[in-house]
Amino acid sequence: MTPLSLSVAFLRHRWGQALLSVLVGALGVAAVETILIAQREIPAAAARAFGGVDMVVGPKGSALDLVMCCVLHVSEPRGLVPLASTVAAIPPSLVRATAPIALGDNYRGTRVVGSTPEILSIYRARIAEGTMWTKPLETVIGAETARVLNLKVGDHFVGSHGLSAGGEVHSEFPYVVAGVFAPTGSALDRLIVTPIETVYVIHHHHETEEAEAQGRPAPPQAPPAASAVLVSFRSPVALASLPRLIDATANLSAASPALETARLARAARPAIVALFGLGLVFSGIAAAAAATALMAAMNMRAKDLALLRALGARPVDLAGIALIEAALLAMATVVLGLLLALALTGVAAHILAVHDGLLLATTPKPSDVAFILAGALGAAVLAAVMPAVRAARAPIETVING
Amino acid sequence: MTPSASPPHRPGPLDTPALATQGLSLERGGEVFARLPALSLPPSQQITLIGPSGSGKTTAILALTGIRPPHSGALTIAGTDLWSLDTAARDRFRGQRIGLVFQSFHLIDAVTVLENLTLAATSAGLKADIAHIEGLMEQLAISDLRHRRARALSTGQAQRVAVARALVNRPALVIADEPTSALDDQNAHALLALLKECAARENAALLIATHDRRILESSPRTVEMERLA
Repeated sequence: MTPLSLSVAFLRHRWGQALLSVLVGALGVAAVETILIAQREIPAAAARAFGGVDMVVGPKGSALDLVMCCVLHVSEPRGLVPLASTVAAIPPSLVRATAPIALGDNYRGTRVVGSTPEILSIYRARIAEGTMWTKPLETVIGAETARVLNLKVGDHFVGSHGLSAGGEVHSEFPYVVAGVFAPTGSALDRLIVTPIETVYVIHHHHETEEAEAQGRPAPPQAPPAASAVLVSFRSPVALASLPRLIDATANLSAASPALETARLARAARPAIVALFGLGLVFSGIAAAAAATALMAAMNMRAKDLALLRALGARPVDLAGIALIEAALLAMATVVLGLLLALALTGVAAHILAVHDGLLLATTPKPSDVAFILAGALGAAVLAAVMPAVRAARAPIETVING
Repeated sequence: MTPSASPPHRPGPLDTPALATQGLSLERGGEVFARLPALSLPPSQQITLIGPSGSGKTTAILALTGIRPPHSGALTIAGTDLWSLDTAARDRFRGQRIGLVFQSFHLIDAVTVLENLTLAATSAGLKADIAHIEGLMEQLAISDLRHRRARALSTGQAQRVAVARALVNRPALVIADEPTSALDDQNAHALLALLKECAARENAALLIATHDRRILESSPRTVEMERLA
């Protein structure tokens, strides 16, 4: 029988205590690992979702709102900006591409976005199937949209008013799928894109209907407007001057998705640090619980250890048993903790993917695992020091004295 | 408990006593209080160490097993001067050359009968000789119990396992400390018979320390502790 198998047998003998130590520790490990993943992956997923959008220009208001609404497509637009003056406010020498977006309709919760072909350049997208639209009511859909809504080239569908499912259905304006974008990893994958003229046609039709119902004459076609204009810079240097230039105008705001994410991360930092600390506290409590349990176990089996010494085991052998037990507890804690973290981040990733379009990679990085394993083994060794000393000093005379 | 590749020690030549003592005096609380008469115990022979409670039997066993040093005197086991060895070597020597049977048997509850027996070898730094262990279990009629945890054994079964464990490493000397004190007559006689038979079969000398009169009746040779104070 090896020290390892003896340690396993001792752990099995007091499985309740061992399980409790492992569970508490696993919660700590799961908290730490979840935060490590979240800290790294949420900004990365957001950056992926931004695609090539370096700046978004929209109506005056919160920059974060503008990003959430018109880049991540998770909140309502705040209003419209006149297209001509907005594009004119953006110096062409500093930008690689601009594309207006007009929001208003959805199909089963997926946004229908009016834009121009420049949107391909913004997202560095390409058509995987079918062709680019050529006229209003034709659409090119994102790869994820095609998968989730089971749409393919040539399919017709009817959108509804508003940005979430359940609005008034525009049955008189059926859309047709002209093409499907190749996956980009960005928010474009979850959109339905149509010529911006589609939005104008539908909008004008509604205004005309309303006017007729009220006995008024049909209003003239409004000048082109957009919810926002997406901008991709020619050089990162533009970030230093362009947003300031836009913000100086009377009616426009500019927002940099990257800066807003960084600002959000800074704002969330105290909460993240607190959660990380909580995870470490859990881990510390687990280590203390393991140390106490090990010490109690060593006390309970003082005669067993003394017997092993009587049978010829050296003090270092007995100390080894305590260390191996602690290491086994640490390994079980790390494995269970990582599994818990995987489950937690898996659920969180699913929710973020469905609601916010953020695609998180939840696989633990080897460096995370190494960090956690080293921490757990370090804590295990610390927890095992006193029990190991106690084991090594097992009073051999007690077995002879009965 | 790293097993060594070398085989267990075999008992020495027949003319080398399994146990020899000369002028072994014992101390307690800094004072010499008892003396063990000179002894020479050949392999396969049995001796009973007697004396009332407090006479120093336990202290003598601590000295004979290399756990607590005697005050003075000479002590060899299978030709080795036990107290000339350093602590680690003495621990190993005890595990490999001395079989111990304790008053309350002291089996490890967390492991099985077979594991209790293999532990006697691995704790002494030896590779467990499974064939030998199987043979001992056969002789002691505990083969069927090999996978049973020690805590589930009856007193009679536990005593047989304890005897088997003492013989796992083919010791030169088996020391049994008050092995019958907690047993009824039937179990006491059964254990004695087992100890004698198995020790003789393994060519090991047997020293039983006791104040149990039931043992004295059947002991071929006795030696009494000399109380000095």
